[in-house]
Amino acid sequence: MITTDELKSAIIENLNLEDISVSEIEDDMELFGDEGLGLDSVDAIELTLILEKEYGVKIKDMANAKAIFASVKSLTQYINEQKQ
Amino acid sequence: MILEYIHADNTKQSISLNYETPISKEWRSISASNKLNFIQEFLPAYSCGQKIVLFDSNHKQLLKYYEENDINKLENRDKANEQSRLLFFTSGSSGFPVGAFKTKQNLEEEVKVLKTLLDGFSIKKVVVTVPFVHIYGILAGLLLPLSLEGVICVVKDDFLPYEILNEASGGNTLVITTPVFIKALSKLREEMNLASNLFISSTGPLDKEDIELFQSNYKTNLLQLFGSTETGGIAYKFGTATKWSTLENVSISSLDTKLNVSSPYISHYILDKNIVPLTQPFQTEDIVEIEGDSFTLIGRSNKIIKIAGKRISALQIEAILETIPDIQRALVEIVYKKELIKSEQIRITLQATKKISKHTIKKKMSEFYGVLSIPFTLHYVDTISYSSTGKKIFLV
Repeated sequence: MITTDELKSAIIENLNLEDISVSEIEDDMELFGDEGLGLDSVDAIELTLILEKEYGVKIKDMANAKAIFASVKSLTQYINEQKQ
Repeated sequence: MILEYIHADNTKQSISLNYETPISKEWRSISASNKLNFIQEFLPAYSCGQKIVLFDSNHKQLLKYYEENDINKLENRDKANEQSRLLFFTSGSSGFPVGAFKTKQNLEEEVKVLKTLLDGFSIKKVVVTVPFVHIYGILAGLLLPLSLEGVICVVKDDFLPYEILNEASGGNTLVITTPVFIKALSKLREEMNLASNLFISSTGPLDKEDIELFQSNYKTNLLQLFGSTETGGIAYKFGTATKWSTLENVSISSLDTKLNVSSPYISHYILDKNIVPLTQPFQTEDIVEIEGDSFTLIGRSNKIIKIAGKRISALQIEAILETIPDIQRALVEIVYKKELIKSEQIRITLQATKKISKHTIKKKMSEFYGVLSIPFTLHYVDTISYSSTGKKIFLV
């Protein structure tokens, strides 16, 4: 099981978000779009690689990715479900 | 060609086109919200001879620029109007948008030459991952597939790496993509035999190791194209070749190590406040070493970075930042992070009367670049001055 804070650290480190700390990312904060963390479509590609490399979890299509990538909370939940 | 659009929920739709589009003598802008709408608007209009302006509606500075510079009201437009069919925008060397007019001849001749690079491949399907607002997307992503007989062309707004593999797994597939996806595919823990496929990538940072990994994982072929909006295509290279070979009909030379190009693909006119003619040879900002009809790319002499397929000028970012109250001067440097997909990042150094929040900087940049997230680090110095050559330098 991973925690939301562990995932936030992995996102910050792997996306090289040096200007953001774990405490600044709320569990429910939107990862993409104007509000929230403000990630873009290239970050979405990078996120799929991070999940595969760090947790062995594959995201194979965008239709599922939209709900999974909604927030750190939803992403953590998905990773933990896949690892069970 | 059969056109298929994949919706966000993965359902597929054949794209039908209505060719009874009314044509106007005026330039008309197309900035559709997705690729399906874009194709449905663009292809019939283009086929019927409509003059079309293409731009990214998320690029707010460009939108403002276009509104302030209505091409239908500009002086000298008749000269450009004689043959021009499309107008693309690009970051100029000064950091502000410049329009490049393309004639039907510019486009058709280049498509003909690009098609010769597909000799030896039996293409039955084309997968297009690139946006259509830029010249590479229109040429390689739309006009090239249109010129191939009996192919299915699949487009989707946002692909994930596995979705590309899924679409390309049947073989005999041409994938029109960018270095971002080549790099991403090389990092997946996957192996497939895609020997009958060809991946075409636009120019961008792509290391030899990433290409080797990509080719070894998928036993496939990679063709990179080199060019710019103003020049159209200049050169190409297959696989891990270090030298770029010029496209047919392109001649090159160098002046002060900068690449000079003459070709039928170069714009005859550009829109830079007014419509001005371009003379050939066209001097690029690319620093090269020429050997016959090929060259080695050493670097670029201006400060342009490419993020998510968009060319962004460091000078432009500096100018944007300097509009924020309390920022006196800004210095933006490009940092290359090889290990990241978004490998070009920026380091911002500020001379400011107080610390500026990163949120304020992000908000200001989003006014110009939309939802694009530009990774940056922020640093402060006491003074940023200018060197004797006019370049910004900082004193700690």
